[in-house]
Amino acid sequence: MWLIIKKRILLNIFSLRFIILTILLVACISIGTLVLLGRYQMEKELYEAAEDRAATVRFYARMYGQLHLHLNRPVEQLSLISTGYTDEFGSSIKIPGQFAGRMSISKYSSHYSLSPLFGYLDLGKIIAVLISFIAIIITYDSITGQKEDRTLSLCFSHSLARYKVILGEFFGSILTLIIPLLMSFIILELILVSSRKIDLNVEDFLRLNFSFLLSVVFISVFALLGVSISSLFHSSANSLALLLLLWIVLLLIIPNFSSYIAERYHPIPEIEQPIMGETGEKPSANLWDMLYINEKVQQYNIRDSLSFLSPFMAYQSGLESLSNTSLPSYLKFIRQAQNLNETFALWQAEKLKKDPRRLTTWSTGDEPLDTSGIPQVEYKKSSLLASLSESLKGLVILISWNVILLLLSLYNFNRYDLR
Amino acid sequence: MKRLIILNTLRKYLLDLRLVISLLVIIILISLSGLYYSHEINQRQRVYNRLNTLARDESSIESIEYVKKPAKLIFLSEGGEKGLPDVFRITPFVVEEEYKKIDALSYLKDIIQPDWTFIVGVFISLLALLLTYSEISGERESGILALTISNPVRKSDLLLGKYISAVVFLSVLLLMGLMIDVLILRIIGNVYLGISDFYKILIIFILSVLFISLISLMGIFCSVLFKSSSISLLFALLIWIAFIFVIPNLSFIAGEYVRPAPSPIVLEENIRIANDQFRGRISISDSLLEPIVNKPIPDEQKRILVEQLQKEIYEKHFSVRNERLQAEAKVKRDFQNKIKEQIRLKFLLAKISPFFLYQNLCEMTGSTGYAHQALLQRLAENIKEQFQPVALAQQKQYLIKESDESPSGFAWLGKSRLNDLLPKEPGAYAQGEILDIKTMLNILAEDGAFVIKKLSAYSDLSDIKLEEGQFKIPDEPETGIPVNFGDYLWGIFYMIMLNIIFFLISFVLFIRYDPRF
Repeated sequence: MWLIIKKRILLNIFSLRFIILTILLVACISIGTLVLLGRYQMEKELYEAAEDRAATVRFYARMYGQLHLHLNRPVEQLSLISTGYTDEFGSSIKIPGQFAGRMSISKYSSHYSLSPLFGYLDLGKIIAVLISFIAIIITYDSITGQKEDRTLSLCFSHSLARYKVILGEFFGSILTLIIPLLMSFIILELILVSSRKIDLNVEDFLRLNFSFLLSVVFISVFALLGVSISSLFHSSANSLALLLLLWIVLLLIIPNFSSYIAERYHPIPEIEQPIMGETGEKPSANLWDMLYINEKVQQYNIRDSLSFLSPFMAYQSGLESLSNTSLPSYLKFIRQAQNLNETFALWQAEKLKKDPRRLTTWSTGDEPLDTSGIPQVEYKKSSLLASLSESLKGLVILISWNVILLLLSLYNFNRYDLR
Repeated sequence: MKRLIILNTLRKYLLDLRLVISLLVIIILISLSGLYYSHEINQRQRVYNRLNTLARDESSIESIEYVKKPAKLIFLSEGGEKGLPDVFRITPFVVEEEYKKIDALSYLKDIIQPDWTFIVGVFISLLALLLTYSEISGERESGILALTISNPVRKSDLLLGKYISAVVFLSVLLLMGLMIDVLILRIIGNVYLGISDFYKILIIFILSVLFISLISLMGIFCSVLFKSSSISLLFALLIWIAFIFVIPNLSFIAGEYVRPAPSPIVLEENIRIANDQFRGRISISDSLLEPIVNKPIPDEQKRILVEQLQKEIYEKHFSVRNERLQAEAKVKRDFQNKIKEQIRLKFLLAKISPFFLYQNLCEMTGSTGYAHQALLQRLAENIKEQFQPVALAQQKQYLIKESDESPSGFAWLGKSRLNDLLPKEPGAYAQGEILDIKTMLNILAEDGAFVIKKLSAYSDLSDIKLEEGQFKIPDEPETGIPVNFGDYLWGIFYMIMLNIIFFLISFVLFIRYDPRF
């Protein structure tokens, strides 16, 4: 078996297609990292501007109605890996002083939801699309190629267990695939370490390395898919055609189909009037009410519950959890804001007991606002352990894909008749 | 001879099992897309009708709403209609786009539109590559090519024959697919298409053929360039991935990088700064009254002069208010322009990929997507120009009348009880001694003081309905030709040029081919 693994690795490494694809992947990763770092820095500046504004608002507040709290979520450093849901609803929550309980959410930057075919791009997507493609391209002829040039019958004339052939091809392919993956992660980490725009700590690197492990499980699904389809067919061309079709179905069709199901299964109730802010001013276009966020979250939950259908979706959700940009971490942020809202309202009521007029009026000669004991605005990131246990779901789905495909290919290959 | 090659190749295609399966898959996909859109088009029409009645009810002298009509041809190229704002709120100074439909709210992240351009761009183009990647290299591997060339066949005929047969085969498929799509929409969705729609469908068909022919030429190019079929396939697939994934996505993030999207927070800040310039200019004080009151003339004449002054102040305040709104509108327009610039750059870069270019051209033809949005933005600007004089006249009338009752501020001069009534110390308001403005004005009127009032700044103009016949929102024009005709022609020209270039390159490469090596 070791011989088969070694043979497969050597064959793959020195094949032109592998070299070209690896170069493409590495080039895409390095360009993508540099460009995304630029975008990260822009978003970070916007976050800092939001923080500054919050401080200004607090500094100039002369009455309690003017004293708003802003809970701004810092831009996640690993949103480079997976953008996730942070950009979806907005990450700056304003808790107004006058109408307590009426939080409003806005995004740091605004753009249309126009997007090309694969949506908002991040490194996780580049890796997922390209490495799965590499996996398909190097495995589609792993068995059929041997059938075509008749080396398989020669192999079987020796005393060689059939499962060893499949396992050998499989491990050989995975070990080859780890090379471009490792290269892209090393380049990514090198760029991140040397860049001044980003400042990663130990925990972030742990998260990155766990993402690498998740990626290994992810590519093994595609390597197994390639090997099992290849063992099913007699001609390489047929196996490649089916694999490409499956690839498109898993990458594009199923995620969209599950979104479609989620939309149909849980339609957002129609509301006749546009939602009005309490102050009477209409909310701006990118402002999402809490009600809608709740509805949307339910839709996303339905969609995520279908993620077992495609390894891409499972991988994406795992990466999102590891980069702390997943839906649960967003909901955590919202909950923090809600808690802050409650404590802020209590605090304000306490202060207003002394001087009820200061809610909306102010006259020259008044003392500055008494802000002692104001609730601390601080965003708490979820811990590494929580993220890990969150990403477990995606990992389990990927592992079960692995097991099922492995069993299928072993069963199939055992039934194969040389004649 | 050429005809023979074409017929042979076509027969080869039809007998291939893989192709039959992919044909079936594509036809099923097209039918599914037809079913999806037959539901979608009717749904959007309903949403539009509802939004339109809402908009008509809500049009006031402050702002009117213009609702975007749903396009019928979204089944061909949707162009991200779901992610685009659908209502234009038009005030006398600025046009703002708003998301109002329920669609926008149920817009899930990363969803693709299963429209015609998607099926052609992803599936049929893949089929075109699979058909052509081994045209020459496969024959070279099996040795047929050397045999064929030993006959009196011109190499150009051979290449042209292969190319024509692939394009003819795929065009028949495209035609069938379009017919299935239209039929499903007509029968199941009850979507009626007019003559102009059919012209547009014809143009989209021609564009699809151009695109597919380009992709087939890429396949042929790869198969001429490489000796082995597998490497030719690999390159063909790489080109395919670059077209549909790498180039559009990278150019979108590059666009974001080069021209960053403005932040709403910065916009809010800028609006505040723009407003601050006008803060001092609409204040009034009793020093304005002093010269009149101190004149040695009877009180009656003083009153007339004060009334004149009041009118002047109203005029001035109204114009300052308009200037302030104008400045605010300018800030908002700058914000919108930055977003537009970014989108323009993104599209320009992404159009390097023929797939994106093809989608964009189809959007322009079917008047959907961002190209159409840009047209409507211009239309809304025109409506704003017409709306401005009507609305401002109305607003002036209303504001000046309104402020007689409850101005937001006033100044007075003369003896009045009010001086004694108002608290002297800053902390005194706490005991609930606040007088409302109306009572204050009444007291002043009883005491015979001279009063000038400020224009009411906070009156809610959105409650005042615009009367019928005062202003009518023009209908959206039937778009015959694409919005940006120059861009459109350039796009088609680029597509044709790519076709010619790839044909010539593969032709030159093939002419130089020597069967001995």
